[in-house]
Amino acid sequence: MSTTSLAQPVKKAKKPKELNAVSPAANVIMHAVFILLCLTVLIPLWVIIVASLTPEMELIEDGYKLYAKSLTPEAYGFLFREGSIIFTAYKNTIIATLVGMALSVVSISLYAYPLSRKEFRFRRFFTFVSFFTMLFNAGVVPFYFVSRQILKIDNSIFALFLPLSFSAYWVIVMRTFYTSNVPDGVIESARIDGASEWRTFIQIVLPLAKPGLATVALFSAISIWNNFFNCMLLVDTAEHYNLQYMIYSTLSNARFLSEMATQVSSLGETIARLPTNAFRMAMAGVTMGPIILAYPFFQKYFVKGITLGAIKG
Amino acid sequence: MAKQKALNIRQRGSLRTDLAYLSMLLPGLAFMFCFNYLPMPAIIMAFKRYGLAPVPKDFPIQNRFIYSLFVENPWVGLQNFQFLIRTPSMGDYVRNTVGYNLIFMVVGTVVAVAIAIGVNELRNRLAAKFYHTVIFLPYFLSWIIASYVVYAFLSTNGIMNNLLVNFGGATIDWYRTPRYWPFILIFANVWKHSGYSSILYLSTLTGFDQEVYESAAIDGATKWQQIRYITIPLLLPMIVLLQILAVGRIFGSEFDMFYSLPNGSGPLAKVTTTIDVFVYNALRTGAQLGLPSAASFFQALVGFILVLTTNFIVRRFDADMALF
Amino acid sequence: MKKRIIAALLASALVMALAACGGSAATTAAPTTTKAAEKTEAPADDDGKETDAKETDAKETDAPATEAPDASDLPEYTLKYVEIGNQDCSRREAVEAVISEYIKPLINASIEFQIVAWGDWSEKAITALQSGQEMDIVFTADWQHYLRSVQSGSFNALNDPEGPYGDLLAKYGQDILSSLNPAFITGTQINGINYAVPTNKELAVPNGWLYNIDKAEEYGFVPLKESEGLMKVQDFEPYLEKMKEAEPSSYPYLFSGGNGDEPWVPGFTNFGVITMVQDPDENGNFDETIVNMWESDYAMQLCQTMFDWAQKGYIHPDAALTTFNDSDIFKTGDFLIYQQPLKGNNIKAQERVNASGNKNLNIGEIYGQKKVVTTTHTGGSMLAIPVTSADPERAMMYINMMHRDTDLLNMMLYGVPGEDWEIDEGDEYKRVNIINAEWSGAHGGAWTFGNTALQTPTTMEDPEKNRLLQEYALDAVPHPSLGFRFDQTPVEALVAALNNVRDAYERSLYAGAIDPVENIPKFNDEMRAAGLDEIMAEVQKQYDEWKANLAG
Repeated sequence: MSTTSLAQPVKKAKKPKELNAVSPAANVIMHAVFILLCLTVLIPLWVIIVASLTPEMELIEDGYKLYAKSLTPEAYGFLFREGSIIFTAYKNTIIATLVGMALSVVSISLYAYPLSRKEFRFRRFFTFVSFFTMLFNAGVVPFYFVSRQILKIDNSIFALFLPLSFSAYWVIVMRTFYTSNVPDGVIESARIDGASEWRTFIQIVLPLAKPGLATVALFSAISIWNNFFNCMLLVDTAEHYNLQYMIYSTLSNARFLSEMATQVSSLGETIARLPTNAFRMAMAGVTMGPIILAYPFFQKYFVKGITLGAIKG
Repeated sequence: MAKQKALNIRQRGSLRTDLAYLSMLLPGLAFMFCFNYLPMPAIIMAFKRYGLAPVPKDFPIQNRFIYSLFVENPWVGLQNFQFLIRTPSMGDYVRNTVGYNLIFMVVGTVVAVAIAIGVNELRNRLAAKFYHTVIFLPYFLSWIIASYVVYAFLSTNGIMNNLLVNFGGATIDWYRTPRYWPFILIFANVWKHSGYSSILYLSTLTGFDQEVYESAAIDGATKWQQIRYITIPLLLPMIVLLQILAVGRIFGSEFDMFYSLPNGSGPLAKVTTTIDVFVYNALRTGAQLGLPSAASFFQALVGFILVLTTNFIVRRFDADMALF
Repeated sequence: MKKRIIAALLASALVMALAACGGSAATTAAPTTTKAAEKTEAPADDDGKETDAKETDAKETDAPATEAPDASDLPEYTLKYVEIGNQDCSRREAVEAVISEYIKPLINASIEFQIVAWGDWSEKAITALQSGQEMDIVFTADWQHYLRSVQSGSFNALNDPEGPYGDLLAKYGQDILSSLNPAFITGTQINGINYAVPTNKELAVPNGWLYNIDKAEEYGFVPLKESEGLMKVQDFEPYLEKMKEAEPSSYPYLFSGGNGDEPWVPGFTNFGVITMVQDPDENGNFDETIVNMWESDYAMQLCQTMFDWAQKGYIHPDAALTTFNDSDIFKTGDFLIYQQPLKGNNIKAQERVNASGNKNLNIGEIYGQKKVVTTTHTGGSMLAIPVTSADPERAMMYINMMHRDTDLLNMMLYGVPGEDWEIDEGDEYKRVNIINAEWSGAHGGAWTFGNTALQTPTTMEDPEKNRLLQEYALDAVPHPSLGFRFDQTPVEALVAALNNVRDAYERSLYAGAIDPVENIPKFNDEMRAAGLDEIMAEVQKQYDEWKANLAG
């Protein structure tokens, strides 16, 4: 990678971009392929949405279909009924995701940077320290014990994001971002100007690593958003439930009860009282909603706009 | 360039620099200390027979868990690992686990890179963003929900069979025909993950210097040639890195997928049971804590050895691409 | 700025770690030396049901049990009660408050509930027990690792005079001992010691079927009543055929995973397969030979019938899959026969109709087994006192109250009186009218705690239900294996392999999804390869030892 283009922001006209665009024929083929790919996603989603709106009896008798004879918003009404914990769960998920995302961007970007610097003496050691945690873990019971009895983060919103706020995987990926997107020359010149390591990092390196930071932010946000396990393990009260756990527990209850019902006579009635299929599907739909709204915000860092060639610098 | 290298070497090891860098590691180290390394000593569970015991009054740490695990519980050697070895079908489970992982690595990477390049090259930016958002969505569906959707398509009276009948074909007994399932699982996995994995490649692509492409275009390189000779090589460090990391998990598997999608259908077990599913089913009727610990220790150890090996090989080719 | 954040983070992590290490030292209470552990009669030896206590004390809600010390002498304590159920709900705190207020004058304690979801139990509650999390009362059951939890030292012995707390049941659990059918106490012992208090609920659970009375009338099917005799699954064939003919899109035999007329002791071992015959012969003698059920003629015949029925379309082709939801189809009433465990007096049918929400269903019961009491039915729902409880005596007092106090039980069951439920004064039986089902839908339900006979039924239920349930068991015969629990530890590696073999065959065979003539021999071969014979020898050995102990 050339170092010169990075020293001064380069302004470019639209023209070269147009000149270098794919041929119209290839463009058409690409659209066709993408539309096909999108259909493999949209059709199943459609099935879920239709199921969430189908009256229960019709769903049982006809199964999941691409269309329903009649529609009812009953499942959504029940989901958002008064006193439903889904509102709290939404709030908790959003707060945990935002705070956890901020923490992880800070901790990961900081940890990865020294590992990308060749002059850092303990580079390999600390890479290994983080890498080791990716493979070896002591298991659920010790984690449970430490979180509850030593760190005491149980039954609080901290349980929803603290254990997920740092990820060795993204450290290693971020390290690669630094090495490929932040040229040595820039750092050297900053150093020659007398800037400290911290100053160089904050004022020079971070702005250059924006796409990487956005990636880390997005992926940690997703992992916190999608995580039900820590909530299941560390949260006992509805007041701190998150959205994914609500869904997970409804589904896993259904699965567990139907597997156990033949062994345990009293479970039969419990099963029959489980939320309806439409309800489960409605919940699946409801968790995806906010992602569709939030994603475009991140997307601008990954999917370049027409003039993005000029932004990079 | 050479001068800069020299400068680097001179700077290397300066105490001030190292201290500054160490201070940057602190938040990450704090997190890892709390959530990874603090529980880590309990890994000895894999070699012990675990049970809670009352703490004697004179023991300095009055905690049942710590006392039981580190003092009271007997060492049992490799006994907890026995259940992994004494299973006659273990060969099948290992084959499934490693086989699917390798296929997912190859197919998943190819599709994700293709999507990233495609999204990057599309002329209509709005369409590109739309496609990418849509392809990303399945990542947010849990496998349990996905298993309902798969069931909707593949059940006896499901959407697929209705289609087959409408086109004059015979219905297929999907859930009792193992030979379709490797394809169904691969498809499902790629379907769920490709949008997600492509983001990483996309953001790497975004960072590339456009000048290189432009000068290549001016020199008359076709789009294909640019992708082949510029984009792919530039993406290579990221691709290699992700594969090295994936190798570490080669004995693991996405439990929820392999457990949920086949819907508990017995005839499919031979092609859908992975080590994780085996361990779950095996220990369902209640087993001592040492057994699952042993299983995950074993999986981690294999992954660890494989990563070190892969890393060593990668190093031989290009030290910059290696993990450490 | 960033430095400060980091410093704060690090410091707080360390402080937390340190604080916790100090804290845990203080919280682990040493067992208090118990007052003269008066050795009471082992409850198993109680040969009759003492009915007087039950009759007179039952409704006396505020009279403290004679054995319990005066509430004001006790230090204040908060009981942590871990229940199984669906999910926590927003009404929990209000319910805790009202119950705490109620029990304060009685045992000077307040209560905190924690509801652990059905599906999370083995991961969450068991993890909590294993990691030594503090709790005072916890749900347990044979199907939720009761034996394993006892073996790993998680539960206090409740009637071990030599134990740290002495014979808790005798000291504080008189209402439990006097009201429970003694078979419950015997059936839930491990080596003669009880580690959990069984819920007083149905004890005899013969297998059988529910049938759709409307369809039966339509197709001329007149099943035997329980008093008239037992039926075999093959007896239904002609009517299934008629229904399939008349309604080709229906699947008249609704498969639920079981069989209805199987001759085996349910849950003899925790993995099925190895068992013995349940019902006594005409002379009342039991056959105690330990067998592999998959080598029996019964299994072959049954699976052939099922395979045949699946081919003919009497059974749903997807019945072997986990997403196949039989309760859903039950709701529609689109079936003739539906296999279920029963509990006499058409109670099961009525419960299922209520739970389904479809009041138009007209359901009857058909019996496939005799009334025999087995281990698994005594240990289906219990409450244990974990070793981490700082005050097991108080926990036992509370459990005891659940075996005599209707008001307490109703609050635990339905929530805050006047807000979540009220007694329907217009109802001749004064049953409960539920106003807000949030709490009653969150926990595990009536059968997961206390004495179900003292719980007031809802207006939806048979007012006599709870009495009938307990009376139904009075003439049930105890199986000789009552109280035997197989400990899989010595062969756990083999059981692990066996479980995976079962997953590949069992449900598919029962649902008629695969051909038994070809697959049962394969199944047996694979089980043998996984070590079935060795496991069977171990079962035999443990059973013989257990018998010898019992005699000696």
